[in-house]
Amino acid sequence: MSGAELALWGIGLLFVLLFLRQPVWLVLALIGIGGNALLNSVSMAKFVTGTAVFDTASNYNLSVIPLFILMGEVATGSRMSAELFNAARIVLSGLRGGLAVASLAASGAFGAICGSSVATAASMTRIAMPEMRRAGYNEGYAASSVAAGGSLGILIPPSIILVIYGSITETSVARLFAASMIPGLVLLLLYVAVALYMARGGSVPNETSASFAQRLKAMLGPWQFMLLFVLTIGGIYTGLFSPNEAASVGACGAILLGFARRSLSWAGLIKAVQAAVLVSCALFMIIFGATVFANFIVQTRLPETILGAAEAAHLSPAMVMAAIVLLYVVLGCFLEGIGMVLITVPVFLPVVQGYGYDPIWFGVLVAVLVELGLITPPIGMNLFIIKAQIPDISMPQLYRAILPFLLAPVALVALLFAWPAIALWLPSILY
Amino acid sequence: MTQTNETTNPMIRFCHGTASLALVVMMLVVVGDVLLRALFNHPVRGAYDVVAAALLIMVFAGIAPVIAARKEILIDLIDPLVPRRALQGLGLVSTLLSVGVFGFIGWSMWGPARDAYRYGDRSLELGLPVWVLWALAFAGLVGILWALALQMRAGLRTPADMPDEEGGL
Repeated sequence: MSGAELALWGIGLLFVLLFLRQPVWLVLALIGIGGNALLNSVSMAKFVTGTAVFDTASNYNLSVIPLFILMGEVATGSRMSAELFNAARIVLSGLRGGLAVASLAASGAFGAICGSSVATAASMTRIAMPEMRRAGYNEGYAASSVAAGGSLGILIPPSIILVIYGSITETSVARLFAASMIPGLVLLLLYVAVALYMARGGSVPNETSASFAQRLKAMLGPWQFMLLFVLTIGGIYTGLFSPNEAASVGACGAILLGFARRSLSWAGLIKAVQAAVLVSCALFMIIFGATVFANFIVQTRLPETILGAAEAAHLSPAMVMAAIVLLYVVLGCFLEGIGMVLITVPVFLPVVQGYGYDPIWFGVLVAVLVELGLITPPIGMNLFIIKAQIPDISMPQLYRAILPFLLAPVALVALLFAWPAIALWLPSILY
Repeated sequence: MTQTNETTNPMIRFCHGTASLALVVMMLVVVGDVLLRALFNHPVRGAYDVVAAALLIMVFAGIAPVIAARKEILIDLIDPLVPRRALQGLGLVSTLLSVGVFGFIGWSMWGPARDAYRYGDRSLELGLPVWVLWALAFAGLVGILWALALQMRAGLRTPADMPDEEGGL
């Protein structure tokens, strides 16, 4: 059996084990270790595993993951998302569908300090859904706007998915954060366009309008959010901080602001730190498994085999990329985001690079596709988060309502192919 | 987070507390380094080594509470389709496989750890003996195996819980 055949068998077994409810880290590690042992020897598998696990756990650059997660946990615990929503609600009052747009805008803004789609969707469901229900919004419309907005946390920096992508592909996290900013804002605008278009169909009642003074006051309300954003992402963009330093300063800043505004208690801080440890370590387990798995895939030379086959079949770069995008869309319907990235990127990135595409651009594309997967039925994670918190909404109702919002990430994928500069312009002028 | 017998176990609480402390140390050291560099042009000596060591401690001590709290990321597509007994069986299979994989990881780490001790490897900035870090990783592995033992005991008693599909991300 050739290396590439062994890799394909391994990937097949990987999907079987995943669907048999085995943890993602375990499946990746099993296939990686087993595959390495079959391809080379048990002692080679031992050598790769021992050093990979230790080196990953003591990799200074990966400290950015728990630190950004801590910042997000503290921001969630100190109710910053509620203040952002309230500000956006007043600023956008009078607009038909204004509450839905406010929920999208607040989600985008919260994603800029949180980095977690699940945390964003969960907190916005608690905050925005009751308001929209009280205002008489159609339930499906309200829930789908919250679900779509929640997914923005993955693309707008700091994005944990992009940090992980950067670590496995050895691309600069700062460049990835710069590359994802404009696509993140474009996606937010596309979601807003969908929400406003749907609001025309009678899903929402008319709303009263706030005065200019009220709007101005509301805009200045969440100043602490702006301060954190300028400190962290602004610090990275201006070269003042490395991503690790920005994450530490952001986490520390969020804690100090929480205490200063009395929105964070000691108990809340301990809870946030403990939650950050659990989320981070669950991710590190997957990174352990993915490192071993990626080593196996590289040794089988599967990416080169795929590239060679595609070239032999005279497939154009656009056709290859279309196939890869289609595969991500299908996988995104069933797999969770981090696992999907860690399984697929080691296989596809060499192929994508072989066709001359930029790895930074591909990272942004993958983040958009993961984002699409978060709201795509049947396993759109954000839909389940809303369903878990508002059990009286039916899943078919949610599935129907989310369909128009799927157009936004699909349009962004098309825009990224048509104008790669959407992603590559900002890093080119900053670095 | 639901408090289960496994997460309130003293060993698991100790591991969770240690990992949390390591995360806070990591944050404070980097912030201190940034501040001292900006204000006095004098960075914290050995910040790189301390952060790398704190990350290692956080990760190896933090995995045990992840396992005990069943926060491992998995795909639960088949949950509505199979009886709870079958889910319990699959949970036990994953616990046994996890014991095997962590056992293999421990076995794999032994050689490089012994070499680090034998050749007196030291960290770049502070000159810390690297074998100490390996020893801390092995201590974390003991906690992980303990958490898996608790998970197995709980799995034999009650049907599998429904863990978070995406582990909070």
